[in-house]
Formats: sequence, structure tokens, C-alpha cells
Amino acid sequence: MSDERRPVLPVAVAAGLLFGFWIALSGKLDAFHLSLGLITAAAVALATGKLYRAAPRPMPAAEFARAPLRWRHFLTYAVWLVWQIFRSAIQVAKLILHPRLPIAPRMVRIADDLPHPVARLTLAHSITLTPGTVTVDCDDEGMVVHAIDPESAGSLGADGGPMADRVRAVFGARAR
Amino acid sequence: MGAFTLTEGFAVLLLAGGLFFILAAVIGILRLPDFFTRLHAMGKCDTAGLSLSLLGLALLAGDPAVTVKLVLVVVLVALANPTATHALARAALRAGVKVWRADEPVGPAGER
Repeated sequence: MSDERRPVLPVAVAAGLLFGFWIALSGKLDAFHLSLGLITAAAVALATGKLYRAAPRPMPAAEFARAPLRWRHFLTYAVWLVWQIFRSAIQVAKLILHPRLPIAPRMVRIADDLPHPVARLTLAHSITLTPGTVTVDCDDEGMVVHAIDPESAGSLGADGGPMADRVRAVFGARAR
Repeated sequence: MGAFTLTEGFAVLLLAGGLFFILAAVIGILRLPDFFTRLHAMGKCDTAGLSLSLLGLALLAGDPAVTVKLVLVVVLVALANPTATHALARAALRAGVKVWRADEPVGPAGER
């Protein structure tokens, strides 16, 4: 029965973050708006609480703080990802506006051996945000990716390619 | 008189870029043949289009508090959009939505 209960600490942290986000967005500090925000943040954190139980290992925040080099990797990665988002939008816009609509979509499967659920989440999101690919499913063996044309599928290779290497660097895992 | 300030000029460029991508996303929804390819249009063009538009508005906001809010919303969109895209794609795959391939002459709803 106890494992059916919501994990208290993650729910409290989530509620705190949501409340902080609420204050930043509302900018109003009177009792009415603060209590409204607190109730909303608590309700959302409680309603989504059972999601946190699915995470088998704790977030690597402490590890992150102890390894300043990885922050540098993370910033490099974030800048690279923003650039990818725009490349990706330009590529899809080009395909969409092309008179012949030159797409050849397919599903591909890639294997990933990332050490941490957050690393896998980062890779899955990065694949979705980079040109021509959307992560569809994710299981123990790897990920299923929908690619809009063969080049997009090819850029991932069989194991995530250079993008997986970048995610590995951020999370401190050895490159292959 | 009537001249743009540099900030306004940048803001107009960002807004125009944002509108272009949002337009491309809408045309993509109409032209692309199946659910999954349409997700590409929404997931990518929308993220870029919304981010550019919001950054353009952030430049024009004047009030720094509004600028900070808009930038926070851009971060939220950049995180929420791939999450929603993935959730929709996964649900579609589980529900057995067919993946359109180029060697089929007609899309699943008979369009193309």
C-alpha cells in the first residue's frame, strides 16, 4: 500500500517550482493572488504526483553541481539545440511549401544506451526538436522515431548518432 | 519622425519570421498526408514561430516584468511542445494510426 502513495518530496518540490513560476508570471503579491497560486500549484502537483513514482532513480542535480565541466557541456548543448530548432523549422517549412511536397516518411528504431532517464528524456526531446524527426515511442530497447525523409532517418544512424554523443557528454557518460 | 528605432526594427523582423513559420505550420497541416507528418509541421514550425513571435513582443513590451514573463513563456513552449508532440505521436501509434508512405498514391483520408 505504501508504494501506492504519492512520493512526498518530489510533489513538494514540484509544488514549490509551480508556485514560483506562478508568482513570476502573475507579478501580484497580494493575499488573494498568492493563495490562488498556492492552491493551484498544490492541486497540479498532487494530480500529477503519481508520475514521479515512475522515475526509478533520483535526478542527478547533486552530481551536476559537483561537476562544473558538465554545465559547460550543457550550455553548449542548449545553444546548439536552439540552432537545431531553427534549422529544423526551416527544413520542414521548405518541404511544406515545396510544390511537389517531396516527403518520404518512415518509422525507424534506434538503440540508446544512455545511463539515466533524464538523459533519455533529453535525447528524445532533442530528436523531436531537430530536423525531420519526431520521437514516437520509447521502451527498454530504445526509441521509435518517425522521420519525414530518408536523410533525416540517416542522420540518426542506428544509435542516435552525434546527438546521442552530445547528450552523453552533458550527463557525464563516456562517449562510445 | 516616423522612423523605426533599432529595437522596433528587430521586433518587426522577429514577428515577421514568427508569422512565416506559423503560416508554414498551418499550410503543413493542410497539405501533409497523415497524422505523423502533420506532427512535424506542428512540432517544429510552431515551436520556432511562437518563440520568434514572443521574443519580438518581448522587445516591444517596454515593461521589463512583461519581457521576463514572455521569455519564461518561450522556455515553457520549448519544453511543452516536444512533450505534447511525443504524447500525441505515442497515442497515435498505440491507437494503430497508419503511417503514410510515399509509395502509396493516396493519403489515409483520401487527400493528396
